[in-house]
Amino acid sequence: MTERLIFDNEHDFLAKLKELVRGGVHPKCIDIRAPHAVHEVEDILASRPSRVRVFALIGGLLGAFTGYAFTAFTVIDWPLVSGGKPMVAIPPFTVIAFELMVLFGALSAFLGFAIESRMPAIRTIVSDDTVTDDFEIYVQRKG
Amino acid sequence: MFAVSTYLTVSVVFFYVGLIPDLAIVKRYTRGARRWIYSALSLGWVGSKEQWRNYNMLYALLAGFATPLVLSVHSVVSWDFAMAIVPGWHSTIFAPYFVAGAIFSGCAMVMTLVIPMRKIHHLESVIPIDHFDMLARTLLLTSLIVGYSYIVELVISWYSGNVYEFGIFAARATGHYRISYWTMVACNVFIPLSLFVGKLRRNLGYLFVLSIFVNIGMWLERFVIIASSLAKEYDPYSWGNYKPSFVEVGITIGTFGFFFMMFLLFSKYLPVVAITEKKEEVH
Repeated sequence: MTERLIFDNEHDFLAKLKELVRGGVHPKCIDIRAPHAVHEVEDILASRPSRVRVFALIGGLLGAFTGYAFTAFTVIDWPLVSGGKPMVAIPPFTVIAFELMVLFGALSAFLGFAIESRMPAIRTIVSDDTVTDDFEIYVQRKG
Repeated sequence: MFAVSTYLTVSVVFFYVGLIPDLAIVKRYTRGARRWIYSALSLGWVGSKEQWRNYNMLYALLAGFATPLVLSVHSVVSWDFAMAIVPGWHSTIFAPYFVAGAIFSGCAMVMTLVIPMRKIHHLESVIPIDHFDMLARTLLLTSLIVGYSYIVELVISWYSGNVYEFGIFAARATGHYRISYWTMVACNVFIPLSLFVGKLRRNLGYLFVLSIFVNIGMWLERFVIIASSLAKEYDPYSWGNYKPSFVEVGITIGTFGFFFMMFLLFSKYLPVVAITEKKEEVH
């Protein structure tokens, strides 16, 4: 059974949320709807930091690796030696590696956001429901 | 190419992510086909616990990615010039000079667009005058950096003792392109100095006119850098002054028209102010 509580202001909403958690309701059984970001919610529900940052890290590392690998591969594949300078020159390749790190990092963070938030949510897109100006709490109670 | 296309892609993602919660709000106020489009674009945003948690993290990460990206992109673009041995381009000051110039002209363009938009959409309570004051301070700071770069360029070319390097700078200031050069210096260095006066920083009419001058100045900066150096390259036989043909003038006007069309479409169909951020501020 899901209980739905509606508040028209942030203060009452946060007070009720604290009361519920203190009263022994597991944070996993609580969901909310907020018209804007309320950073206190994460503290009250003791949420873990979002996993989006792991996606960003992996994407960034992969991008940096791709940048170095791509540039190194192309110069070795078609060698043009000039002035006895090294073929695989790290300093100029770092520029490419940096750009690809940012590109892959940002795109994979966005992908991570979509996966972690279950978006695009087809059911919500199709439904006629819209966000409101109210704060809502959904509490799942057993039985 | 990597730099510019990465810049574009990351900027578009950043822009779109910021819009997602607002698109869900816009859905509420629309009907019919439009409602479907906004609904699909908002990806089914409802503002749940998980969505906000991931959204806040993503937004912080994108801001972290985008900030060094601005520095790198403008540095890379400036190195495209600086790596060439053309007199007037081959300079180590180019990277910070272009980064400061980008922020400078960016602030000016924001003023040019937002001051009329604020008036037309009656956003006086949403965008307070303090924001313009802060923007004007940033404009002043970056104008000082740009002015400093102009001086460094000139002094270093003189101090180097290289006649070709100094020759091109002397030609910029006194030769065929002297009007462009001094208009650029006036618009980018001298006119923005007036922002030291606190009252002028809060006078929107003045800021609007000033921002137009800065836009002209920054456009001329690019013109002077490119045209004046190429006009007097290595071999005197190939010297020649550049004058835009009417086709080139048409293309330039066309790009301006395209830009303003995109801006007007944006302000017609999308929220011009981040609604959820404003709500958070008010509560």
